[in-house]
Amino acid sequence: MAPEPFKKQKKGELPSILVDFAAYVVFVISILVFYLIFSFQVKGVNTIQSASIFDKDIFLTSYLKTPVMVDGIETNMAELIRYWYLDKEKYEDLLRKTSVELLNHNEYEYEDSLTKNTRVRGYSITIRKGINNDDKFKVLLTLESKSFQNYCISDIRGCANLGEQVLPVSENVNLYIVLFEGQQAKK
Amino acid sequence: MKNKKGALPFAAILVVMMVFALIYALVQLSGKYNQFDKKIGERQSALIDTYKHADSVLFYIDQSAKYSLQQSVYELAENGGIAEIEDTAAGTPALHECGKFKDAYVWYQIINKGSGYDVKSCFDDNSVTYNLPYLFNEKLNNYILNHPENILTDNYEYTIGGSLEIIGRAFQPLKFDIFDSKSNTEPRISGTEKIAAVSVPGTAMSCVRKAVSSSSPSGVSGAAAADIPDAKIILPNTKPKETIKISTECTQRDLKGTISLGQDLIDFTQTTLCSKGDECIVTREAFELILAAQGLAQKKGRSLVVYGAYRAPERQQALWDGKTAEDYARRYPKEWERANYVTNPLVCKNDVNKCSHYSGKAIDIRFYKKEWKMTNAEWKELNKLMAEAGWVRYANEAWHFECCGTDRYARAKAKGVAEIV
Repeated sequence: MAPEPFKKQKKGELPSILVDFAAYVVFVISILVFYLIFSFQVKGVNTIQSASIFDKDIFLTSYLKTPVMVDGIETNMAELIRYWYLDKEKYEDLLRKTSVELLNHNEYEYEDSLTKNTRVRGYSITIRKGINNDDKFKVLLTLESKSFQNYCISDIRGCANLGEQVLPVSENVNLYIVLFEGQQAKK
Repeated sequence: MKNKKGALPFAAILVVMMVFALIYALVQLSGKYNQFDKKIGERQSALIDTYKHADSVLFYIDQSAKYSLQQSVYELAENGGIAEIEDTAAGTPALHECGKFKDAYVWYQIINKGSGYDVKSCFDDNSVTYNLPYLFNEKLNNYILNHPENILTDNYEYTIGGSLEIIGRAFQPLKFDIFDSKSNTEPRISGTEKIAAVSVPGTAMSCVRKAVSSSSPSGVSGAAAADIPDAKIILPNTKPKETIKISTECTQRDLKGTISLGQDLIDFTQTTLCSKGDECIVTREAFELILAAQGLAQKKGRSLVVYGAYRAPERQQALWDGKTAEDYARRYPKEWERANYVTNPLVCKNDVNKCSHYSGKAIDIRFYKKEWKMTNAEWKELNKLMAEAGWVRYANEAWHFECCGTDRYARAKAKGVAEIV
């Protein structure tokens, strides 16, 4: 087939080579613009380093709301703690027994992903006096499940506080309840 | 096909314009939104943590309510079912009409008049329905004030159910910051709650609580100098959750008379200038005067605390209608008698000047000190200091000051005095 004769440019029409060049330039510019847009947006995004402990506080709240019989009347653990604070001699045994039972019941086993051994999670609850005063660190009572060890789940500040609750005792006395979690290898 | 003149340049120009349009859009968008500086999931995680924190506070309130009821029932029984309500206007108790005999309230009074006996019954069998919530509220307030955080007091409308059941419906929601003050965006979570109906051992009672939460793009400002509180502006006729965040520095800058009076309100609740458990909202100009008074007080080694400011008409109506713990409506069914203790909202409707707390330009203020009571000398000192800062005192109340063009303020200024009835 004979080649087509060279087409004559019309007046005002750009040569096709120029049009192609303009299209390439625009294409490259568009790519650059969108690259800039996306790089700008991605800059501020980081993946979260460590997920928050979502069950924090739930266990402690559940513990404090657990129904318990005190002197033949159904109440909850929070109120038993109050009774204990007001009359330690009378209620300490009941508080210890009920609490340890509850904490033991909630222990759980899991396989450690690094060491591949089976571990048991245990709990410890401390009852402290006050929160806003010098007694802040004065521990009045510690309640531990059977598998709790001092090798507790910790962060840079020491044992991680997995839950805390201010409990009223009277109009001017509060108790400060703190939950810790510990672990040990299953024997 | 024949091309028209300029067809090709038009396409090229269109593309170039599109590129410019995209760049413009990018600049506009980046200016509109702050850079996304949160970690993925951080906001959601904070939201869940806040919810749990709110639940912890509600648990404290529930337990406090339970103990408050037990103590209230005990004290009410001990006092023969009578609770002397505090007269909010005078700051003193409105005494039991038949008084006491040997430290016990008199139920029935027989007075020998010589010619005969005057017999008077001083005990209303139904009084427990308003005396119990009143006492209960007092106790609950004490518990709430003892909580390490700032929870609003006098914040519940009570209804008594059968078998010693009290249900409190909150006037104002509890508010918690989801992020700390360092955060750029500080949305809040609000919880509207009904506090627990509480139980006394040995009685059959139930427990009801409903929590609803919602978030809004408002917030409080960051940390500021110790003597100047953080504050936020509230647009007129809006609820606190519709606030605009400003910093304290911004507050001071903006307060230089650039905004017309009465247009904006400033909420400084939960700051060092507002009494714990109270809500403090005033106009911008009033806030500036409070800061001025605080400055003067600090020079004298004192510190001020506001415990009453803007009061919404709805709140006044609730007080009048007996929907607060004082239950004025049932305690004083006759309106003329009730008016001795609480202002009739109708009066305010007819003449808003009669209810200066509506304006956000009237405050109840005292020196910050451990004990609530102030000596006469201290009241005088406060009076002098407030007058220096530009306030006018309501002559019948040592703690009530007004400013910024209220009716009382204008009358005082016209007479050239710093206190007026």
